Amino acid sequence: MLAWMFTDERWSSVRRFLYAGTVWGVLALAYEGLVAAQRAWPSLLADLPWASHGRVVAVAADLWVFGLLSHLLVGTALRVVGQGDREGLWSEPLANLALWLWTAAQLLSWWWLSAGWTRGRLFAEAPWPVDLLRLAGALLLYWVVRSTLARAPRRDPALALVASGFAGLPLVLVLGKGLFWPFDNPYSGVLDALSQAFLQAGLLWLWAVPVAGGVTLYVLSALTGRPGLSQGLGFAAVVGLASFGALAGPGQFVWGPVPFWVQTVGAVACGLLVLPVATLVTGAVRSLEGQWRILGDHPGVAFTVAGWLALLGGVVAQAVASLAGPSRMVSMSLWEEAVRLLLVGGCGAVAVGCAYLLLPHALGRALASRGLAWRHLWLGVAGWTLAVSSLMVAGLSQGAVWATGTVPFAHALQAVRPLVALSFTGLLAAWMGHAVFGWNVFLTADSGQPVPAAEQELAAVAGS
Amino acid sequence: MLKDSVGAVVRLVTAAVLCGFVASVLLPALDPAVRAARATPLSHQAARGRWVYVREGCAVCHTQEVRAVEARFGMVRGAGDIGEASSPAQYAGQDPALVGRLRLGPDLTHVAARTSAQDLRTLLRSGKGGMPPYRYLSEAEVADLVAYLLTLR
Repeated sequence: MLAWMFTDERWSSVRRFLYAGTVWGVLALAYEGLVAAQRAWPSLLADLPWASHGRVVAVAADLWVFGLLSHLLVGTALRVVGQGDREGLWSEPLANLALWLWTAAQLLSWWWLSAGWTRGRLFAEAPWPVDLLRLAGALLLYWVVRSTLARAPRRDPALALVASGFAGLPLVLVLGKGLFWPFDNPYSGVLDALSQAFLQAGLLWLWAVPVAGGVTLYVLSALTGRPGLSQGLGFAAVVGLASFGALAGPGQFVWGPVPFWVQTVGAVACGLLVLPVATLVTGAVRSLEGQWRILGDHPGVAFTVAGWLALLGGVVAQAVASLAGPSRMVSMSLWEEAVRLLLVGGCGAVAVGCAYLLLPHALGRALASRGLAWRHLWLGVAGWTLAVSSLMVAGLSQGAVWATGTVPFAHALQAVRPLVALSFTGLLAAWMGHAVFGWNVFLTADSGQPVPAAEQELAAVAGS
Repeated sequence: MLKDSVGAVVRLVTAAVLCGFVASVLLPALDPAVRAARATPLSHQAARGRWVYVREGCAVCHTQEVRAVEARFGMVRGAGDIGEASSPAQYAGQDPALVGRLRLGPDLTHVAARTSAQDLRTLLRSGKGGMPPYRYLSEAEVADLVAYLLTLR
């Protein structure tokens, strides 16, 4: 049993992270759909404590960030990092250990949050044993990535982005969740509110986006034979994400109860975050330039491009919402929920797209069905577009009504109920799409056509 | 070559994250208005009620943050009844700080100033509009939660 769990078989950890991300993703989207359904029909499952709205939202956020996103990103990133010197990962058993730690953390978190054992902090709801397991896994993964890259023969901005993400995650967990004092919350009051905001921003901008960006640039460059970013632009993207991402948290407190200068810093950082994201998108476009037919040939590329467009839209929407004028209207409304869906959904789409592209290189088998993958893409794009656009309109409506100061709160909420129901429909489609993805991954692992060893290599072209 | 490059990236990211954390989390906590804030102790019953509030994720739908631009202007039922703007003092000693990010139910910063204990009890048991009923809570839990909500003036 132990030999199987901690096997040193090449790419075993990559495969397992991809499988785990796929399974957690089906659950995450099911919970996200349930959240939307309960917003439209508040009494749905209200008599079941484990399915009450407050608990379901906490479970959904946890499954999204740590289940779907983190597992898929780690799986794709390890495959890319291990390609560096064509010898695989520095230590498969350690990467597998990280997988089991994260799996235990995810199961415990699912169980405990459903049972109502929570720390009550946004994106940090899970109790401290879960956080410690996740931190241990993150440190192991950082060690594996760092040691693997140390053997690589050349510089690559894409790999530097991946390394920055793996360095950022433990820092975000320790500082944002207060894990330097794990048995209790070391923060309180405004300090706690700001550390929650730091954690939310950090998990996205210091962990998910750099890794997604690095993997995208590497994979697209390997597919097209064209480098994405130069060393300089890659360096600028790393610095931009780390600097502005760490400062963006207070952007959500504009007009709120934190010192004015902190609100300003947060709002400016939210605006500046557009630059590194635009840089990464530019890198992807440069890789694809002149070879746009790949977009129509492979659903994985289309998924990745759709994800980056969503991320770009999300970061712009977030920047606009943190400005003093617009924030009067959209802050705390469903607009913020729409932006969250755009950002995490965009990252998720990038991770899924890269997973599609890397499946043959990790499993040694060709994707079982491109048709199913295209169906997944269209279900995901249509569903996500419907969910995000309906919530954005709902948020703007809420904000406009609040701004009049003449309509009671409950009436404003009642007016947007149909839009919330529409967002549920969109998320249902997205969930169906992800279930199709899960089935396709299963078919590929079970009966996909074997890919010759030479074609499993993945040599990217680094920028100069 | 890459070893040096990765080391430099890691050092840079670490420095940027630490500086960002200090600037966006620690320094604001040293602001005079934040440091001057003193926590108002809760009764045992209200403290238990606050924990029910945390456990059931009430902060998912209810903010406790009246923004400066809506103070005395925004409304819950009647014009201006949302109350005064929130200040750092309101959150002093709160663990966790229950600011909330999404307002799918009314803001609760000053809920006790506009609602009675009986209304709260009925609302929790029966639900209303977008609020689900919490029939699975015990009588004691509802009493504790109401005691906590009545501290929010």
